[in-house]
Amino acid sequence: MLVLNNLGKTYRTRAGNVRALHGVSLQIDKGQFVAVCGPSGSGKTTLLMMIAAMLRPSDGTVQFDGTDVYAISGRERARFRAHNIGFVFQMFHLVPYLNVLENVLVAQGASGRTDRGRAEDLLQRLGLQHRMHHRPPALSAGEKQRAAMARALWNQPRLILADEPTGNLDPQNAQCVLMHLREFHRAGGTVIVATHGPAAQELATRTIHLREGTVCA
Amino acid sequence: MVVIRMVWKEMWHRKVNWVLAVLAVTTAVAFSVAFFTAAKASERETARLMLSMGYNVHVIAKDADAGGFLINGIPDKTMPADYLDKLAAQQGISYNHLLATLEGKMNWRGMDIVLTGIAPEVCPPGQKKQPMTFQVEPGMVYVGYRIAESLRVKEGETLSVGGRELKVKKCLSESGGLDDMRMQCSLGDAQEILNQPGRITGIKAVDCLCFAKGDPVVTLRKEIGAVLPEAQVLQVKAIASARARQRQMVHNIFALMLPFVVAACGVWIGVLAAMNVRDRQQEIGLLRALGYDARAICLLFLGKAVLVGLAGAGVGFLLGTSLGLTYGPDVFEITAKAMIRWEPSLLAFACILAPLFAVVASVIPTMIAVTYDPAATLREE
Repeated sequence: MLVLNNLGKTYRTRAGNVRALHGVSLQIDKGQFVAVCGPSGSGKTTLLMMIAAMLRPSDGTVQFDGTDVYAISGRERARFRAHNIGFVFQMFHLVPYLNVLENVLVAQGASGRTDRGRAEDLLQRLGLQHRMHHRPPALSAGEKQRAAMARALWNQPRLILADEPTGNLDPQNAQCVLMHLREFHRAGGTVIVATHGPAAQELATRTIHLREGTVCA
Repeated sequence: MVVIRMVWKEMWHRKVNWVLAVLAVTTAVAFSVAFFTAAKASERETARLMLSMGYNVHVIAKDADAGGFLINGIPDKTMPADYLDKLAAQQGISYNHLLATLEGKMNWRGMDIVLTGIAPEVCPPGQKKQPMTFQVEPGMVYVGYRIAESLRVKEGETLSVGGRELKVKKCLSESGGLDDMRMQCSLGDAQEILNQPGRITGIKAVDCLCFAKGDPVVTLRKEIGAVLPEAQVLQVKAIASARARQRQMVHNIFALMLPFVVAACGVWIGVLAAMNVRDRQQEIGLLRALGYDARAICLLFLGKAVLVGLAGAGVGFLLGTSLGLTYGPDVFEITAKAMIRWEPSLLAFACILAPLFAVVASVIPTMIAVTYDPAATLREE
């Protein structure tokens, strides 16, 4: 499903070049639950962004089902993300002026699908039925992340990329989010989680360790 | 989630930004509408005053004594009558209401009078207007007050003037000027009586140069001189012209200020749009991550600019019209307040131009939004 070939990324800054990732070659098959572990600054988020077709690598290629995602146009890449990838971020990234239901439906604008009922079902499954018409500032951190989870699941992606999804949550909410990632995985979806926590690693079928921009295990 | 719905929701969420942006458009529109409303009224006022002044441009023969004409009011030389046709045939000129006359002094029943033959008034192409003076039919005569009083002339009476029979159409009321000593008949009758077939002594006109830059008489001489090199042009200046000049000066000051005001408002909108883009960096990154392409991001910001422009156009039009109606008469020296009125066409212009203006002012911030690196914005905590 996903083939990373000799992937590298160097950020150019005023202070000089920073090599965030180099020589990463991986193959991730459909249905895997992959935990990407490593200390801060090891390149986890950079790796996820490059897999998501959002950060062009300095070296190497990212192939999704045989297609080099950086060889296609920006518009095609946007369509690719809308149809194939769901995101869960540590900082939730909910749109502040939309209520919870609308935040889930934000994904529809890009995919072209319209299914309000599915969004309501997802929110009910995630225990947010009473919060559908509330805006993000009124939600707790756990509720925000569950809303973000519903948004990631709404367009029925093939791959969910989760960047430290439990980093800002209490253990109960963290467990809830991980449970839904596991459900998605059990239903045949592929999950890649960048994490520090042991809980996500326990659920993973495969763990990749990054250190100073390279895969060390 | 339709992008336009997001635009609407975001505007209500960030009310201060939206209100300030609408205020900027409102300022630009209000200033423009107030200026154009008052300026149009000012033009109407000037035109009205110029018409009430009567003909203020005189075209006489090149060899006529201009000094004598100014003293006596009658040119001492004639010119071909077809000069009128030549002037009337010109397009894009700055005069109107062309009236050819043949004037001559004569003695009638022992009294020195002025006989004036008047041709039907003509207008240059595309400038059809109501005649400013009465038309005299052949065989008819209008008798000046002093002549009628002194010689006991009555309306309907038939007079013999220079061997020609003319019926008195009307005895004119007292004017206190040369007109009291005039008998006015058709140009053909006057040419016959004065034995000047095919000749005229002058062409009167009204200039349309109240708002022109520079001295109008120079422009008129240039225009008329090109058509009639064998004629000279005199312009009668009066208080009305001075007022027109004053209004023109105010007009020019506002016309100079307008681009600066509009440009300042454009910068204001641009800064607000840039602040809005900066505040929404992570939202932009998220939308890009969810698959929104550059066009959708553009629509998010330019759609907002269009709504801001439309709101500003409506409010600005109302405000500008109110300001124009309230202060226009004083600023532009418009004496008749009834002359200033709201201009519906400006609303249509405002509704088209204000959104366009807001969009142009928001283009650079929108381009910045489109080029944001979504990965970088989503990484920030």
